[in-house]
Amino acid sequence: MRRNRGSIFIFALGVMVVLIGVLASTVATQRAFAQQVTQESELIEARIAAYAGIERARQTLQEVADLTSDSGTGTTGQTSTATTLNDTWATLGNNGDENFVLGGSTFRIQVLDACGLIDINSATEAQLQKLPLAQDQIESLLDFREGSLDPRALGAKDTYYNNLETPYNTKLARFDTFDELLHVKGFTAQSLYEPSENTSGSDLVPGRNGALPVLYDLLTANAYSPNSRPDGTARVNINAQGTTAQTLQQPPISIPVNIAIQIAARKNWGGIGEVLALPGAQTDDVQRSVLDYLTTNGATRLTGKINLNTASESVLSSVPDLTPDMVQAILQRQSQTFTTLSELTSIPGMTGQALQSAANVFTVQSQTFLVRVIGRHGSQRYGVEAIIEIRNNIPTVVAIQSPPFTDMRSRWYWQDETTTEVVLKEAQ
Amino acid sequence: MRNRRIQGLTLIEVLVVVAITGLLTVYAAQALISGADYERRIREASSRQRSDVELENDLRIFIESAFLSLENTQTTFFVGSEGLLNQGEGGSNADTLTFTRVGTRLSSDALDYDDFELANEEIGTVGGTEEVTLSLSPTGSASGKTGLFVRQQNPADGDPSQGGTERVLNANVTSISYEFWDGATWQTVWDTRSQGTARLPAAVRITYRLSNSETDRIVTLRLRNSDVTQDNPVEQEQIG
Repeated sequence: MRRNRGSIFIFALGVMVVLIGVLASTVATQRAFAQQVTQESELIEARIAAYAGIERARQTLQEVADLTSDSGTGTTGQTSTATTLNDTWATLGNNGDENFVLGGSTFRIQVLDACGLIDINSATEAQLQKLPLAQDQIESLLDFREGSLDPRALGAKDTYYNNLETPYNTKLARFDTFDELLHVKGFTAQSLYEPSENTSGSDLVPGRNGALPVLYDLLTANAYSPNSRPDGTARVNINAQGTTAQTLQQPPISIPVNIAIQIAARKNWGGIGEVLALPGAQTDDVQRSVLDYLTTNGATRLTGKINLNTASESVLSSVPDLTPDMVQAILQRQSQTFTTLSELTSIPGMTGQALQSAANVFTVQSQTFLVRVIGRHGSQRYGVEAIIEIRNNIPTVVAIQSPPFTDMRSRWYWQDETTTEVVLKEAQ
Repeated sequence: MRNRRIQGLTLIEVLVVVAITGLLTVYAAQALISGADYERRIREASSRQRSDVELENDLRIFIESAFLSLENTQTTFFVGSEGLLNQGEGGSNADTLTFTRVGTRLSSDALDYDDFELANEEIGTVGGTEEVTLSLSPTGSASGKTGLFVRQQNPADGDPSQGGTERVLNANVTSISYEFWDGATWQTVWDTRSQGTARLPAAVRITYRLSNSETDRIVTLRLRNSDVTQDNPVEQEQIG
């Protein structure tokens, strides 16, 4: 009788175990299914949060649009229209360190001035040679964007690209995006996104915090700035047929007659730096007039000028003829803002060739900005990069794309975790 | 008396136990069967929904990254037109979408290459602008396949009629058409090459049907880099 009872107990136990097993496996598959659905909806929420970040950046950049607009905001009493790192857009999100809470989602954000970078559409050979690029990469880059059909000695045109395993034509036009460099002979993802060794043998720009430089941190394909004076009024185009010596003598330009005649006589100026090389043009007054009032381009916006106020040490070091001392002096001056280009002359040693080079390269205002956002909801993150340009005084998203890799937090030099929180909308 | 008690249960007691056990078993079996059935139906519904989600996700990734360059107007474009399927009928919505986009994601393998030609040979061309065509009628040869075809060509060369690689994006699509928001109304076609200033539509409305469904589905995708708004619409040319 006792043995009998024991066996019934064991039988019952066995049945229980089987039942629990069946139940557990059902629950497990249900759970995995539910998890997948949850992750998908979390990713959608994360994406919406990331787009909210882009919109936030756009709103913040309206301030720059209002300041640099060319329609009458350049009123007296407005102290500065320069684009600087003290502006609201530059501090927005504290370089990804702030966590913006948007209900159940969050986003982190960073806005960069594209004019603080080197534009691959306007960089000269001398400037590219200061970057971690080999000579064949430099010549291929120039060949790719220039219309001429004859390649340089180390460069490449159609005869090279047409014979590749995956063939295509040379662009012969400006680059649209930074990653378009991957189409150029000699460039790979490794050379664009990883720290580069010095292979050129000459002095190169330093990387971030003394590390090796990364091209992704230095280059852009879109960097526009207004072709106007800091007060918003148009500059005088010295290459325009209508610009006479008289125009240049009138206040506030007030260039002395002998120099004004020389300027007006020529209509193929390559840059305002060349004007500064004219005999007699080395006085403070002439330099100020040339730097602040003149242009050699009739367009309303300039391509690829570097903003003195936002450029990093690496970018400043790429400018030909600038010594490391001048670079340091510019960096120190940035906190006080360069409100006009002529304030360059206050940098010790900034005369002669250095000033002529600098005059062709720099600006103090920007119209193009890069926005980096990571939206997050639950376990899911969604990264997005956008280019915002100020067009007709409206910050306009001109390109929006997924970042090239999944580990963008470290590539953007963001901390793993945020330290502060900005609550835009309480979590429910 | 004592022995009888130990001997066991009365007939009534046994009957009650059997009845209760039977009842419980019936309920449990019923719950199990209907539960399994419910799960099967949920799974079917969600897989139908998933194929919608999957297709809409693919379309979103392509269309939301559409890109127009103000300078390179020859090599960047956004064209929604009546392709081979509706040709000649006129008035119907565009069934073929061809445009340029940016932002192809790089695989982490791409970082391993330090040789340009080897990377070109093994991973092809990446980066820059890419040309995309989305249509039920393939640009090249269909070789018996049906569904929604996607043609991708990198770099974009300004010739949307050929080149690149083509594959079936989703074999279940039986019909698809596109409409374009110009800030005021939905347009049936869109061609940046015939616009004075090339502009992206503010949104694309896609009507499609899958083979496992009997109804059309509509998804509207917003192009965040379009400058078209209600206050700044695209001026349409007046015909006649």
